[in-house]
Amino acid sequence: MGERRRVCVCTAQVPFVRGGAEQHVDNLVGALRAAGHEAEVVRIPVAWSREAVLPSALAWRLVDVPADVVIATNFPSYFVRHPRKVVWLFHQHRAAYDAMDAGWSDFDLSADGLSIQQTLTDWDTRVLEEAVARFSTSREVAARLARYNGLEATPLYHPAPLQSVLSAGDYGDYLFCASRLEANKRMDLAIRALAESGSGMRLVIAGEGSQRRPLEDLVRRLGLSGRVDLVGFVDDARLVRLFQEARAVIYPPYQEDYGYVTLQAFAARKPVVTTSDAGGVLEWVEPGENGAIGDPDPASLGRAIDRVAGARIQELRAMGERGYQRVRSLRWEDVVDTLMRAAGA
Amino acid sequence: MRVGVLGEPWDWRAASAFLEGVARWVEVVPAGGGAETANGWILLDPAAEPPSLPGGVVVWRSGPRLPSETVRSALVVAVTAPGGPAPAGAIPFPWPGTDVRARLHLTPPLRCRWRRAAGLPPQLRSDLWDVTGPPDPEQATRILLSSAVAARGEAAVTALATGAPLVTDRATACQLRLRDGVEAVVVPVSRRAAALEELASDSVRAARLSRLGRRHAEGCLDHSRAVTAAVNALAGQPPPSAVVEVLGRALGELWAPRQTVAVSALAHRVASLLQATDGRPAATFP
Repeated sequence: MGERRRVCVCTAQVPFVRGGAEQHVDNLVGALRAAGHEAEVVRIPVAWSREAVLPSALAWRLVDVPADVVIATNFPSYFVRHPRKVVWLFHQHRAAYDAMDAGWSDFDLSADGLSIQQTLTDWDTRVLEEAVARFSTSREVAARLARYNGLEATPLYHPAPLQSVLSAGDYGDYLFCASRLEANKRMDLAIRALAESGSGMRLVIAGEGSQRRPLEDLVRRLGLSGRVDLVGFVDDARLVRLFQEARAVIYPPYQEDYGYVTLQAFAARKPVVTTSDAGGVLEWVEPGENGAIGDPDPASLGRAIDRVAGARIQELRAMGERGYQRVRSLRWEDVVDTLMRAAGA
Repeated sequence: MRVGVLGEPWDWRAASAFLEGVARWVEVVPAGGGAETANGWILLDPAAEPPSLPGGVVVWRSGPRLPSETVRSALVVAVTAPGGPAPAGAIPFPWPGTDVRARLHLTPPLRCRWRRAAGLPPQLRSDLWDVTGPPDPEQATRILLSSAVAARGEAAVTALATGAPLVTDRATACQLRLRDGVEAVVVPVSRRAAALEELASDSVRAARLSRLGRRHAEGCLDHSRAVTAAVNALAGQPPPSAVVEVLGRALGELWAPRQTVAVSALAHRVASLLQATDGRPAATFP
């Protein structure tokens, strides 16, 4: 190990929300401490309306973070100013980038929308350029950075939460997914695909979010009440069991940054069913090898479900094992070493 | 603030661009046009002597002549080649060049979006190879909205300043110090259409060229530094409060464009904070 350093991991705080980014940051801090560094999380609250994003960015610009190294992770935390700023990019403000045309983006074609988007893009590029090194959580995030900002970043993969405690189990009669119930996670597509599938499988979805009620309505409308369980938030022990006893995992998000669900599925030796536009998930899933990929429509994804659901247990186990081989070498120690070397520390 | 102008420059086009920039901030009047009441002077000939020295003096130096003894303490603005050295103590004014700070940087994806807002097609390739001299307003708008631009000379400067992915020729690349494949694609005239098409259809390459072209313009082709220094020397800005200084520096570092909807809204928000904490009227930001 190198010299003991004081490291601040900078991230946006979205009050009352806890998801993959929060776990990611906590695990990074834990890994830095395990490597012998002093590490803290620095959070500044952010609101996501387009009128609020520039002041949020400027707030980071106006504070000093006293540390040997800062590791900035997401918008707007990478606006932090520091001579040893390493960016490990989880994502930018996607509503202004790849999701600008999504229904939930408020960056429309009005004068205000265009002007704020232009300023945000310009500022993002400048502050990301400042970093002594740029990494991204996935090739997907790096590709967005190249396409929208003309900047390069090196993908740096890391283990998912619970990856070390997940292990092989039985192959039951349900497909499983753990996800925030938000529009971009497209649990509605998973439910519609189940309706199209001829497999008769059940679907268990763990997680909470703003889409819970619409999803419940959809399940009723499709007559799937006996086959789809929205089990809400579950603790880690139950989450591990749900992964281990699933037949396979289904995860069809739109342009996911990384997708812990995929890595957790593979740690539990489960094949993964996903879509051709799932972003970072596609860096792990190879059709026929460790999962199945459908187009982002219910019929196509339903056929992908059938391919996995109809496989013999031996085949499922082999696919799951090949998935596990893809993720087993991911180690936080390597991540910390890479980031700290890049910082020159 | 009224600034008088004295003397004849060696290079009128560059001097005109400089005076236009200064005139956006202060009133600029020629000798005999009311300059007797001026409270600052711009000397277009370094040997010129102002009738009085009531305020700041800026000397425009485009040739080998040095400022006279009486105005030795003046700010000297010197015309240089893009990226070329300025005489010791002088502020460089690159020519050709432009006020880069006044121009929006539009990346290729944003150009596409702006075209959509304007009802234009998803792709717009612009061949302005034969435009000599500065682009007119219609051409400048076209440059701003294009997927990629083939241009030379001053039109190429405008393209770089707005972040248009640029195809140009070797003469312009030499003049503007552009590297092939870094800030622009450099081709012979016969290759320009093909190069334009290739560039417009390669989103990653176009985005990289857009960014590096703009940074090159900021570093080597920008007029705003000289103009701002001249206006400060002429007007003698009062020292801002510490809070304003910090915020102004943060906005300046980000090359915040002047008076866009976004920055005006931000300034308004910050200004209300300043009024609450500093007891001053709302600040004006760059």
